[in-house]
Amino acid sequence: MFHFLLLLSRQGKTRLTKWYSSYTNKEKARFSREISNMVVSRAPKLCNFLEWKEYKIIFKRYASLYFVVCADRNDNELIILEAIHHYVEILDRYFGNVCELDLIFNFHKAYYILDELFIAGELQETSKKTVLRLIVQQDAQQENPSEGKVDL
Amino acid sequence: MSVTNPNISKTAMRGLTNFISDLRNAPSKENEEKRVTKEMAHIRKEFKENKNIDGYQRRKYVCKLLYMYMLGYELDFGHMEAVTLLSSVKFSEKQIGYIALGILLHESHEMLPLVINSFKEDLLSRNDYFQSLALAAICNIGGKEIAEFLSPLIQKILIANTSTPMVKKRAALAILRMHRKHAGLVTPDSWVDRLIASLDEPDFGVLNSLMSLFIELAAEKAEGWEPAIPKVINLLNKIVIKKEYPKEYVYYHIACPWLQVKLLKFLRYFPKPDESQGGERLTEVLNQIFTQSESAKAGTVNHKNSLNAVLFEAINLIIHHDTDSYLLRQTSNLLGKFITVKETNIRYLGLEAMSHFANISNECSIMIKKYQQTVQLSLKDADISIRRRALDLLYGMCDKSTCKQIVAELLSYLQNSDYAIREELVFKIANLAEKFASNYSWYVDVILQLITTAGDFVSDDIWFRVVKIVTNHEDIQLYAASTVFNALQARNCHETLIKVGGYILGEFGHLIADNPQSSPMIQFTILHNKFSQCTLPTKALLLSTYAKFVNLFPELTQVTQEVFKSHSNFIDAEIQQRACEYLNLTNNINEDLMQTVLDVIPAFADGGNQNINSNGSTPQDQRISSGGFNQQPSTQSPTNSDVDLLDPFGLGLNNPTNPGLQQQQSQQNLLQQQQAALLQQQQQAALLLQQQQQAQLLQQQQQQNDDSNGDGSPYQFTSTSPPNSTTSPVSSGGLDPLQVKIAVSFKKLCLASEGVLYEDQMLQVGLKSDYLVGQGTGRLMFYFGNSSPFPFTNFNVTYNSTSSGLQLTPQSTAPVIQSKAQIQQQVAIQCTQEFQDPPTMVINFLTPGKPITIHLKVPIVLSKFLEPLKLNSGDFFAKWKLITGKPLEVQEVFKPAKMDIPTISKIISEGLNITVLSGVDPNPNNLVAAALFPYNSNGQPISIFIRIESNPQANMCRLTIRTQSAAITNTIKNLLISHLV
Repeated sequence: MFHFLLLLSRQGKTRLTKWYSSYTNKEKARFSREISNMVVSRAPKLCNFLEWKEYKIIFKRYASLYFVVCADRNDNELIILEAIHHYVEILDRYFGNVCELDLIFNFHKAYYILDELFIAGELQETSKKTVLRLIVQQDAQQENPSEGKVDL
Repeated sequence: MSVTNPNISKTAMRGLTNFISDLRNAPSKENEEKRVTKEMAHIRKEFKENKNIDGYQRRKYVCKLLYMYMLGYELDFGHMEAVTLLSSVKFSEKQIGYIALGILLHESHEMLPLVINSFKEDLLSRNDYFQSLALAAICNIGGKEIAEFLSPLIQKILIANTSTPMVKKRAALAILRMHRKHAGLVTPDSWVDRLIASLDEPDFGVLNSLMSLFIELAAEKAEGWEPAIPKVINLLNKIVIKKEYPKEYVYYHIACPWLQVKLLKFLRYFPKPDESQGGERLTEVLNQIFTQSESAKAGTVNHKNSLNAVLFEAINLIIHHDTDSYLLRQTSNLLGKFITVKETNIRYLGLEAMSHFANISNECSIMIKKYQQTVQLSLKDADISIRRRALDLLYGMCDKSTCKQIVAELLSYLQNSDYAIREELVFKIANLAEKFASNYSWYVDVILQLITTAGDFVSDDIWFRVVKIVTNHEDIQLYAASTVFNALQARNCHETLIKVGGYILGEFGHLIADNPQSSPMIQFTILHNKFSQCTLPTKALLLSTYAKFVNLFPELTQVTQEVFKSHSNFIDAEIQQRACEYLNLTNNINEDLMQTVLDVIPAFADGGNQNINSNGSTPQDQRISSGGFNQQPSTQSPTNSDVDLLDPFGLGLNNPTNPGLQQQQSQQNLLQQQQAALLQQQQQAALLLQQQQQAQLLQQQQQQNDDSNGDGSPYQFTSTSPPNSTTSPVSSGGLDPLQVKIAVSFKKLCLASEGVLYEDQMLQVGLKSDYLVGQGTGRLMFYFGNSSPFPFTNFNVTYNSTSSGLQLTPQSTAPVIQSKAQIQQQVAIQCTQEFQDPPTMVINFLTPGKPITIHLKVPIVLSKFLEPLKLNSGDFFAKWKLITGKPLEVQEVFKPAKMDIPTISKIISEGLNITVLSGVDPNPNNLVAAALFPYNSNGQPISIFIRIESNPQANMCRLTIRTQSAAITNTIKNLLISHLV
């Protein structure tokens, strides 16, 4: 299970945070800080896993952004690494060559795409095609506020 | 900003984009703040005054607020607007409402109850996008209330034929979430079958979510889930062998790796499936996964990762089954390859899996022995994650034949290792050295080297352990004494070395005293040269050593007495007391007594084979006991395995366990043993004393001792009072029925205000007490009844308070109790500060023929002076969170006498005067309570916060106490534990 997910810039700024376990605001701030220090200071070519408290941190850097997941120790590290990649690919496909700025200006989108992929700290859909289709359909709903069921 | 997706421009809000630009372009933090303040004021005004605000504007404003919130600005409004959006019928508005909620709220947020109804409406809606939004929100922020209110509805949605896959997969995860927040509510046993039937679902997305739910539920209780095994194996077979899967679930040429991983993981909660369950087909699948992994050499990194993710999951399952020798050998070879590859991730996972592998069986650990060199090299890897795994593995690989080499390797690594890993390293070396020592002199050498190289990281339990082993093994005592003596020659000794040295020389220094180079005087000098730089506990220990020296080497009497004298006015009470006691004891007035008290500590009770920390020594058992799945404990760092050992039933999800706890416990065990050993000596001394008293000897010394030590036990070795000792002297201790009865009565009266404190054939002591809450005073009325046929004469009772915080003022009593008569005695009590131990009373009287002395504990405990403290949830947790860390916080896991929250609650509230706060902790299995102790020494009232988390299935509770005073925390803990266990 993911306990939380962070998107960190190289300067250590958090671009997106999602907490699947409950923490106080103070803890959230402290964890983000602690983890961003650990992750950002890591030399390249080292492994993508860090042991932190009773959890594991699995992270990967994409251009200027670090995608960081905090998971249970007995979770499968490689498949989480690929889950992160899965999210990045979907963002990339949706925004078209996604960059950090896209995620800043469209943070609400980044959040709702995230919800399409991960909820309750679990990966809910592994088919890229399905996710993108659902996102597009929801965007279409926005334009068409008339109520009624839309066939999938 | 490059926008290529037309949807983005269509759904973008210009006002928001401009606002974000403004903030990003702000030349300074000040400008940014100004802009934020302005915008906040504007939005607040709009929300308040603009009656015609439309949905678009509301969305835009809420998004702006969210952005500011994400930058770290506090939001004190806007939540209601988010709720308004959420309840809108327009999807665009609803969606932003839900996003806002997901960012702003959490499971215990006060706003959450307000939206439950909107959630419900959306769940009932015929629009599956609305359903999906509500389900996702429940997945992410749902708490107990939502679980109670909505779970039946969500269960219905999950199994309804009309639900679309999009809705179903979210419903499965929503149930998972609610189960985590409120176990037991979601899945009654009858429901399991219907869930298992849902595995026939054709949609892989839904299957994926279902498997997450299944893993969670089976992890908790595997029983009942067996019918799912054939279905799961079938699915694996379909994907891996038959290659039947929807095309869109192929990820970098691997068929749904996530689902494969989950299916394999699920099987780890069960024993190896037999024929009827499809065991053979599973073997086929596992073999195929191994074969496929060959292709991992080519392909993208994502292809390799997915392939290896599945492979490692398969390896974990093979290790768990531990039966197929062919697959095990393949695994061993594969792991051997993995730990040498270039990719760090694979090296890391290889090392991790290999530690699991090493723990399976002897044969397995032999299989991987050939990789020891490689693992040792990994200790020097540039990556700390790798170093940690290598250390762990090396630790697991160690056996009798390799232990000397591995320990030597680890010791040399210790010198250059980074601080982050040192504590763990020291702990592991000490553990290995003890576990595999073929001779204990080597063990002593290793520990001394640990202290010299990394003294700061040698925890107390390590040096306690070495002392214990030396004490229990006569053959190494001489060696240990001369070795520590030599080590102490160094100019700069670590304090831990001084402690070990002090202890060992005090006990066994006489073994090397014949050597002129280590004569008693030299031993004393070498220790005393370091005395002045030591901390108080070490000084106290050294004083005991000196006293022991006097006993062994009379020629040191004078020099040590100088030391005792000069410390008899020492500012620290402990040191002062020891100095005074030893001064009197070594005055040579009664040699027998001195010899008894200062005799060699007898061998410690438990066998020498027990490790400092038993974890790691029986990984197999742990693995089985934790549902066959959890292989972590055996290979994790010690601090992490604590979680499993101390929290075997997973209570601590939200509350990470204190890592030092276990160490502390083992430390306490050792201390208790030491105390028990001392107690034994004290009892002997007490016995001796009694005989002497009866012979009316030693009056002079008695007086002297009473002068130096106000309480009635002059031979108490240290001021820490030995456990359960106060009622001992009537008989010579032990567990005779009378003692048990006394203990039971005492315990009862700690909770009740009246009852019988003591009863035998001759005397009955009854007690009534009342306390004035708020004044710190109380009154005890004792009733002494003579049930013998003859009168008691010279009857008198003395009371001793062990703490200055509690004064007892007794009225005088009549000196004679006639046969079958009763007299009373009133005792006024006053509590001015916290106290730890209850006061004691000594009843003396003469019966025809012999004098009788009865020692009793008076049931006055700290809880008698507690005042109620009522707090609501917010206040409680706010204050609770202010106090963290030992020694202000203690935790203890215990098995309650009666696993029943109302019973526990009654004992706490009625017996111990601690206010049980209802409705503060949402979990009905938990209990929180608070009280106020108004008479603290510095005048500040002390608040006491208590939390008990119970796990009825495991029949265990975890107690956490936080107060602002370590002494009170400890006292309250002891009280609670003694009454609840």
